[in-house]
Amino acid sequence: MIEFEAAYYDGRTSARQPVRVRGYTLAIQIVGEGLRLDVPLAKVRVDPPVGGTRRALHLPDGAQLQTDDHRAVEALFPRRHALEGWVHRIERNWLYALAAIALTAAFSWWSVVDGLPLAA
Amino acid sequence: MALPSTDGGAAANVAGPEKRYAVEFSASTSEYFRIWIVNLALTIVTLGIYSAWAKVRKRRYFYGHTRIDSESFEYRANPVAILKGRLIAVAIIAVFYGVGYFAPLYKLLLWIPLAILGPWLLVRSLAFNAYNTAYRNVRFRFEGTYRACLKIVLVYGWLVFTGLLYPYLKHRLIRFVAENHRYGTTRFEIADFKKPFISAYASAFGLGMLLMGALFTALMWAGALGTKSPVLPIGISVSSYAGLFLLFAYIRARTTNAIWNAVRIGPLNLESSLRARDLIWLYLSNFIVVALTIGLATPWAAVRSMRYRASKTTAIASGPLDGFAEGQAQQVSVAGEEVAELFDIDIAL
Repeated sequence: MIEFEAAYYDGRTSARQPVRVRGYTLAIQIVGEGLRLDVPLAKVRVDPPVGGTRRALHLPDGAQLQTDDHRAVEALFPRRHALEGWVHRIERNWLYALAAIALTAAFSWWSVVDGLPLAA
Repeated sequence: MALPSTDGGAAANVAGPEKRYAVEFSASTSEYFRIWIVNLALTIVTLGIYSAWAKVRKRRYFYGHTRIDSESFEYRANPVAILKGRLIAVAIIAVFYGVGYFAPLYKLLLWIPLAILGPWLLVRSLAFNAYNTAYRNVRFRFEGTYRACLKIVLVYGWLVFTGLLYPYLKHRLIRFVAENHRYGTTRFEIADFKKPFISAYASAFGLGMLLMGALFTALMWAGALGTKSPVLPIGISVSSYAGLFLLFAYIRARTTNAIWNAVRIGPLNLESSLRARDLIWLYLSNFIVVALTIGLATPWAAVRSMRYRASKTTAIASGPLDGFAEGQAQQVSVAGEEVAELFDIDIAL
C-alpha cells in the first residue's frame, strides 16, 4: 500500500482540503476531514511529470488531487505516459542534455553550411 | 480601491483584513536548461512534430513553478490539439507564400481576409490560453466575442496609422482583453488605467526626442571636427539601437504596472512594481549573455526574467482565496492561438 499527503479540490470551488491518500492495486482512498472517497485507479487521469513541478491527479467530476510526492505517483501509475515518461527521464540526466546540445549544434552547423545555400 | 461588482460570482467581496501574497517563482535554471535543450533536440529529430509537446512541457514547467499562497498554476493544453493548430497555421502560411511567389500582385489582397481574421485569431487564442490555465483547480476563461473585438479594430484600428494615437488603440484592446477574462465564474474588472498607460508612451516619446537631439548634436560636432573615422557610423547605429532598447524597456515597465495595478478579480487586487532601470539592465544583460553563449543561455534568461517579474508582483486579498467558484465546462479550439503565434500577434496583459 502506498500512502501520501495531498491537497484535494472538489472541482466546484477553489477551496483546498488537506487529505491523506492511500493507494491500493485497483483504487485510491482519499481521507480528510468529513471526506472519504474511493476512486478506481482506472478513473484517475495523471499528468505526465515535468521537472520537479507538483503532480496533479484528475478525478471524475472535475475534482483534483495535487501532491509533491512524486515517488508515490510513479508507484501508483507506473505505466502511464510512455513517451513523456521517457522524455522526463532524459531531461533529468545531464549526459543526455549534453547529447542534445551536440545534436542541436550539429543541426545548426548543417543548416548554416548546407541548408542556407540549398534554400537560396 | 473598491470597484462596484457587476457579477453574481460566488467570490463575494467579503470585507476582512488585507492579506498580501508574494508571487513566487521557483524554477531552477539547470533543470529548465535540460527541458529546453531536450525540447530543441527532439523537435529537430521529429522534424518539428515534437514542438507541440515541447511547448506544453515548457509552459507546464513555468506555470507549475509560479505560486501564489504556495499553490501553483497549471497549464492543461493537450499537445495533440496544439499540433493540429500548428498544421493549420503552416497551411495558411504556405498559401500566403505561395500566392506571394506565383502571383505577387495578389499578395496585397490577402491582407484583407487577414485583417478580418485577425480579431478572430486574437479572441480564439485568448480563449484557448485562458481555458487551459488553472489555479487551485479552477480554470480561467475568456469570453470576449469576435464581434466586440472586430468593432474595436474597426472603430479604433485607423489610429495605428496616426502613430501618435497608437497607445490609445492598445489601451482599448487591453481593456477588452482584461474585462472579458474570468477566473471560474468571477469576472476580471479593470479600473481606468488610461492616464498612466498613455503617459508612459508620452514620456517615452519625449525621452526619445531628447536622445535623438543628443545624437544629432554629437553628429554635428563630429562633422565640424571633420572626423572620417569608420567608428562614426557604427557608433550612430549602436547608440540608436541602445536608445530604442531603453525606450522599449521603459514603456514595458510603466505600462505593465499601469495595467496590473488596475486589475481586480473578486476580492483580489494585483500590485506590480517593475522598475524601468531594472528591466533595462535585465534585457541588456540577457541579450549580451545569450549572444555570447550562441543561444545556450536562453533558458537562463527566461527563468531570470520570470523571476524578476514575479518578485515585483503581489496579490492583495481582502477575502479568502478559496471562495472562487468553477464555471461550466466548454471546449475551446486551438487553431487561433497557433496561427496568432506564427503571425506574432501579441496582446499580452
